[in-house]
Amino acid sequence: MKITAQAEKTTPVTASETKIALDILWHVIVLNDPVNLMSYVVTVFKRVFGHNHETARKHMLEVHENGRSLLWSGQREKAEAYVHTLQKWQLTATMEQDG
Amino acid sequence: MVNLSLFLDSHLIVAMLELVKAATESLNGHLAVEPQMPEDDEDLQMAWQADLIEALHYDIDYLLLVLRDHDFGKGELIMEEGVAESVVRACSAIRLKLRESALLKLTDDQLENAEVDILSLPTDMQQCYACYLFLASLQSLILIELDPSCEEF
Repeated sequence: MKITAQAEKTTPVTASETKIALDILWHVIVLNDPVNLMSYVVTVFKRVFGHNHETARKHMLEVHENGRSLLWSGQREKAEAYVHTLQKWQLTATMEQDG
Repeated sequence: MVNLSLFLDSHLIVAMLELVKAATESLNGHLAVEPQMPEDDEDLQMAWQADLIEALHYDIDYLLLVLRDHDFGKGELIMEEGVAESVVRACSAIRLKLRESALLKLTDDQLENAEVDILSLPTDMQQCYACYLFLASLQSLILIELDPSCEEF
C-alpha cells in the first residue's frame, strides 16, 4: 500500500516537472565583440540557422548596434546545441531562460 | 571548392606564420573565448569545453597547414569548403587571442573601424596588429568565395 501510494504520488510530480521543463522557453543570444568581421557573422548565422541574407544581416546589425541579438527561442536542448555550435564558430553566444 | 588567387611576399608569410604559431601555442588546451555554459550540469560543462577545444585545434591545424604550404602566397589557393570553414574559424580564434594577449590597449572602436595608426604602436604590437589584419584579409577573401553576397561588407 505504501509503495503504491508513493508511486501514485511520485508519478504526477515527475510528469508535471517534465511538462514545465518542456514549456520553458530558452533564448539563444549572440553578443557583440569588436573582433569578428560583419561578413563573418552573417556567414555564421546563415550556416548555423539557415537564414537568408537579409535575416542574417538584420541579426548581425542588431548585434553590432545593440550589443546583442536574439537568434532563436525554443526548448533547452536545442538552444544548448545552437549555443555550442556558435561558440565553435568563435562567437560569444549564451542562452537565457524566458521571463 | 574555394579558389583564391593570392600573391604574398615570402618574408611576410614567415613573419605571420611565427605570430600565428605563438598565438596557437598560447591556446594549447585553452579556448580563445571563455564560453558561457549551462550552469547546473558539471558533466555537461566538461564535455562542452572539451569538445570546443578539440574543434578549435582541428580548425587551427588546417590554418597552419595552409600557411605552411610551400605554394601559399604564390598564386592559386584551392580548398574544400569544409577546410575553408575551418580556416575562417581558426582565423577568428587567433584574432581573438591576439586581441586579448597583445592588443588590449586598442579600444573596441579602434579595432572595429580599423582606426589604428600602426606606426604609432610599439614594434611588438605593430607585428601583432599586422597579423590581426592579415588574418582578417584572409578571412574576407575566403568568405567572399564561400558566399559572394558577403562582398557588400
